[in-house]
Amino acid sequence: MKQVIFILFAFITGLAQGQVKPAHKTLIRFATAHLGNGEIIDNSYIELQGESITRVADANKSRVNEADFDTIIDADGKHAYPGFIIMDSRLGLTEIDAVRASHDYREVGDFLPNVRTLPAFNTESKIISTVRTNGVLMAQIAPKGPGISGQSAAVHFNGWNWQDATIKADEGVFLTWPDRYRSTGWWAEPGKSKVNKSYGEQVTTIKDYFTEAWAYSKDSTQQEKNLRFEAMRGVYNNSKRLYVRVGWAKDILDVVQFIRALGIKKATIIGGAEAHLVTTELRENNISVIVDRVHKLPAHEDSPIDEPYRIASTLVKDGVAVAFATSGGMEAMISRNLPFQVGTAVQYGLEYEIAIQSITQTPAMLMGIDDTFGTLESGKSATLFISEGDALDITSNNIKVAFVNGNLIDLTNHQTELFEKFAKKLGVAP
Amino acid sequence: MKIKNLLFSAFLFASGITQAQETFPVNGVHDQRHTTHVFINADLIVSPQKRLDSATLIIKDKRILEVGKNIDLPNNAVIHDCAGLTIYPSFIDAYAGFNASEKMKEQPSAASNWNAAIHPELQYQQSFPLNKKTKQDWLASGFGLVNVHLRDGIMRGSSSIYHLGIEHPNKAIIENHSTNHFSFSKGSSKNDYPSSHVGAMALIRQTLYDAQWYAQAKTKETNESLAALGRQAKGVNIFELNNPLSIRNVSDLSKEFNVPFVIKATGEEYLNLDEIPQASRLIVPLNFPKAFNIKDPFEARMISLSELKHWEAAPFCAMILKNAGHIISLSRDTIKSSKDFLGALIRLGKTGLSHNDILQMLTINPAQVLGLEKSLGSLEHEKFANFFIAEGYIDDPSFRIVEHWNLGEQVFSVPVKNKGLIGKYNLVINETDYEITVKEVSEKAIKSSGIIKSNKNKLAVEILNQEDLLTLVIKDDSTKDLLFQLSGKISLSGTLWDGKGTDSNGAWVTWAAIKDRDKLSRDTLQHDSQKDTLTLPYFLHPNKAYGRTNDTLSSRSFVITNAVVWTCTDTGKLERSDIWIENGKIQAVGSGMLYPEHLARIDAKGRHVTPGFIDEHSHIGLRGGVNEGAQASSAEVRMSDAVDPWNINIYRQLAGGVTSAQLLHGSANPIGGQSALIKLKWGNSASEMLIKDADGFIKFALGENVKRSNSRNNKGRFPLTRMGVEQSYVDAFTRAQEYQAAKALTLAGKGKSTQNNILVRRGLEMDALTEILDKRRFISCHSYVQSEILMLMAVADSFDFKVNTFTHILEGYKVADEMLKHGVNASTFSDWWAYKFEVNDAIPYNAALLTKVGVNTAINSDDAEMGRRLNQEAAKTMKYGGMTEEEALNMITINPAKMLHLDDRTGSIEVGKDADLVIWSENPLSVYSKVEKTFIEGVLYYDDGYQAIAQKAIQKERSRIIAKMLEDKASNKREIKPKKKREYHCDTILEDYTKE
Repeated sequence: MKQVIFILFAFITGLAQGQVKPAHKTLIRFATAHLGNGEIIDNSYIELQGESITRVADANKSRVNEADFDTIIDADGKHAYPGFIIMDSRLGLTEIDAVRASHDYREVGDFLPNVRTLPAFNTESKIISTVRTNGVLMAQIAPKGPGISGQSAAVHFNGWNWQDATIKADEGVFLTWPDRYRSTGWWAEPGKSKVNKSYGEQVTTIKDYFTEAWAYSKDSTQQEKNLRFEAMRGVYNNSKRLYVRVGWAKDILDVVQFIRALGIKKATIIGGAEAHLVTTELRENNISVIVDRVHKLPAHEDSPIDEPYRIASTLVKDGVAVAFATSGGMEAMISRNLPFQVGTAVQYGLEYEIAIQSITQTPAMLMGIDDTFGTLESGKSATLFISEGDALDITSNNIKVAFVNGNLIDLTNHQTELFEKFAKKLGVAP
Repeated sequence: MKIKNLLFSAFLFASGITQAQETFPVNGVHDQRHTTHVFINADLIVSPQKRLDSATLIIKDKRILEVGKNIDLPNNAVIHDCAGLTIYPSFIDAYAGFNASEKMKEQPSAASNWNAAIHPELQYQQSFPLNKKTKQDWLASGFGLVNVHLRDGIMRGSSSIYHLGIEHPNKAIIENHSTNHFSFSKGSSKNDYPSSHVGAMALIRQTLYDAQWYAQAKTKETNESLAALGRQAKGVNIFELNNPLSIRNVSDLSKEFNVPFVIKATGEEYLNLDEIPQASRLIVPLNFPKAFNIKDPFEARMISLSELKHWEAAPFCAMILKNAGHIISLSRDTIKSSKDFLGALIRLGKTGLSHNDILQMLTINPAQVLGLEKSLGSLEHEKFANFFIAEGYIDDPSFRIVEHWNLGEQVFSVPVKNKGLIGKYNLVINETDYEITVKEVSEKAIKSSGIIKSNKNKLAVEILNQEDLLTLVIKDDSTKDLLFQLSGKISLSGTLWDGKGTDSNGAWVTWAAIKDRDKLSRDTLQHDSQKDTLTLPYFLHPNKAYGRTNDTLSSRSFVITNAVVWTCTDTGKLERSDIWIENGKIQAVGSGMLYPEHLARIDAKGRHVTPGFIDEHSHIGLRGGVNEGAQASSAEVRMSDAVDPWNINIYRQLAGGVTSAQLLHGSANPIGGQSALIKLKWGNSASEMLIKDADGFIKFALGENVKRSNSRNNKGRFPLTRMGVEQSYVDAFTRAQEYQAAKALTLAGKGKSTQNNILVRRGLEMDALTEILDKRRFISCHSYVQSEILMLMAVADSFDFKVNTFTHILEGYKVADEMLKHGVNASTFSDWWAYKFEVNDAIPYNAALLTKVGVNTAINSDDAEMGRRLNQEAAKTMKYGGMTEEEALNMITINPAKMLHLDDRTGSIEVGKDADLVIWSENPLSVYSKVEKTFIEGVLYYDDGYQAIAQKAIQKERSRIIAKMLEDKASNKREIKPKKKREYHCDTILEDYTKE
């Protein structure tokens, strides 16, 4: 007896969380498939077996034998996407912004390349379960802080523990570039902005550190092991990406020069409030940009009022690869709005399938996990979801089914539970 | 007292009593002098209205004896020949700022006011002896009389006025004359209160009411501050602004307490002329902003157009204010060097103010401010002998003061160079006549020209001068051939030059030049400098990026056709409908209507039209802080005092379809301040934005902010727990009831028994609380968890009033049924949570659950960024909880209108309501939808189609001014600093609210 699932209910017998039978075969039929590589199939077959996607085909041009499948999901009129990936995320490293004890993303010290986010990543974070409900299924878990704040990792959101959730450990090194213009205070009480008088000095310190780390990396027979420099080796042998948080155009130019001088091949900047002004330099040096937050105020009073909404499309138009984050105030909980922030970028000129690529394939490539994740292609991990409608629009983002590595994930969370509980109490249950 | 003093002096003068009348001992043999000084041949500027050529000024002792032409000179006088020099009455600075950084050391009196920023009883006498260098520099800039006070605090006390050049305070200080000083800045006060502009304003109001009460009440404490305010009521009160927008506040105070204020301006008041009361007296500082060091185009982005435009417009402030009918005094204020001050005068002279206007503003007008116009400000008989002798005129680049006299004593002098050189000379060499004109003399060069009289051939003339000797080099102006090199001497009277020289062949010649009797007219002299008058820049409203030009106001009658109309009424959504707007109101909604031909039509085919959005919880467009959180209750503060109509976020929110907002006090204390309800009428003043006849609202707050859980400097202010919060309310309303009762008792017992006749001190805090009890003021309460929500409703019930709105109310869904019973509204975030402990159970389904239960629910922003996409936030109620499209949109239109009691005029598209409308590119709840046009009361305030043009205009205007700045030769330019505007949230507490 075939199981044909019409995605009105999300729970599928025999497919509970984390219990994949290797042989189990699933067909998702007739979904509009956004492949993540910039392509779209309006009417598709997506075949899954065990942890992997085994076939993605145009349903108008090919046939399947439904009898071959254990489960058939009817997604006619619905949309299928690779799991979205959020970059520069503190999910699992923080739980409540105002409670210091719940923070695990900023260590003490200025040069901490050996520090890793991974062991601090809490898979049971209550926030994560509210984020994956909107289609964000993977993340780059990144540290914060001045100077080199540590190493990031690629994770998925269906792990029992951090080891289980790891897609790629220690994939990048995070550097925060000093600001020429610095604001003091904190988000609710920002102090006065002032010229950073020690900018030059701080930049020199960073350059010196990187130069010394480079020299260290050329020598494999160190008498005394320097854990910090050991961690930096990857930056020079291209096994790790360097992520630099930087905002103003002139500061970005400094970073570009710095990356060129050191011959670093894999580099990405994060933030880039003025990255759209220096696209040529970014493109020519193969430096990509993680747009830290679409929903923010323009950088300057005189800026076009839609400037932050347009940065991504300007970068893409000028040939710079783009990924997205929601960094900044209340960043963890706002992660669930990643699709809508990208939707806003679409409203302001970013081509839709490129937008999808920017939260699927592109971030996967940046983290070096694109051989397995980021696209709906045969041989890739079955990490995907089906939405009732366009997942980038609030009114139609309604995730019916989501898989991580072939496992169907639970789409309830603390908030849906409270909703059901009190809807019942109030007598307004749906 | 003043008159008596004057008479006494006059008597002394006339009777010739010459014995010294000093009370202080003198070391050595007394050296009293009664010399008569006579200044002859001067160009005498008697007053702005009167000028005498080659006139005589006679002074004796402290005063002016005689002024005029052809006066017989006394034979016992010291004669000063001032040929070629100008004599001006000394300038008066009614707001001298050389002590501006001085701070109060201790409380001026033991029985002073409770708040350390209030010390009106302080009499300032500190700045003796003034540093000699500073003093000389001020004398060199023309000031002979200064009014100085301690620039610290809100009610700062009174000033002292003194002759700057006179050493001994007993002689220098003018008796019984002073001004009283006010500001909005708490200065060095250690009190937590006030911590905001609104708090400063409330404190001033309360203190002025206290002073009135103190003057009348029979039973009272001793309070030197209130007593002093009573004494000062009839004096001259000067209010210093820290922001041009504060002029509205000062004007309000003036009206409320019937106290006229002289206004110490910031120099930006040209931006809000409409708010300055008619014929105000303003003291305008001349510290114009310096040009930015603005070479790098990336760095230039850190400077806003408003800063650039102010740099250009600043010199025009005095001229614009004067032309608007105000009486202007100029002040050197805190300008460090005389050079900068005199430079500023020259720029001022290029703005359309005449020499006489400027002089008026430096002499007569400030003398009037200080009440000293009878004895100072001009060179008239019997006035104090306060004047200076100068080369040139105050608006000439070559102007230089060579002597300054105070009270008949010479208190400043520099060697005269080129004395009397300016003029026309008839030069004779070898019986040929030449005419030499000396136009301008500065320390560096002598500007001169010449002609051969017979054929009018032009000559190039170079003159070098050392003391009484001269060298002249004369060339043919066109061929540059050398004609003569002459050397000679200047006669003692200065009218004759003569000597020897060589001609082009090297042959020796004898020469002589006689000065023309007719002095060069001032017009000829001015000729050169007049050609570079500054052009008045154009102004935007507000004067910054995206400011409106005057011509962008649209007609308020038009028709929008063929749109999908979201009525936000029971009618719901109308396909292909028209909206007829007549004079800013909605005249008709529907299809197939007939309109008058002349009406403009906006075809909105395929577009959607919604009511303008209403943000129930906003802190945009406020200045000087949103929290007056030092006390558990600050019900007395009014956010309407701090509306900042120039905040760019107002424009940005229009671009998101917001047309009305409640600007709330913050959430630092259980009872916050009174809200300001505004419409976002960009380009208008604060008073025009405030919604007329709107009901009064007040912010309350519960939870972590009130408990100050996240405050770094928690000084143990009550309350620290939810237990204490409840008691704060019970206490406040109990006191309010007692206040009400006491007032009623006083009213009833008036004139009967003395026991009942206790005058109740008016408390602004209590007034606001009694308004709540009387159901005339409505609460919007910041709230999170269910326990405190129930608590406040219970407290309200026990005092027989209702809570109007719970705002944020993230656990409202847990007690929605109780809220419905109480009849309270809910205004919530769509999906915020996890930012603090108390929002752990916040769920995005909240709004939907509340709505389903029947509670009128809105979605708010509390955030300048989120406020510009409220449509997306409303759409989340569809995703989380299954609201319909119409229900979702109601959450940002008619529902908040209801809770703000504005639903009679806005919030839906219905006949008779204000035409607050937004045209959208598509379904307004989609992330892909974009505002095309926003109207308020029929006026187009935002137009997406205009953005590209606006940005080009901004770039062009920026480039124009930056080019000008690059030309500016000032060496000490300003470093570029990004001016980051704070975005306020509920829990924003400022370190210094005056820096906003």
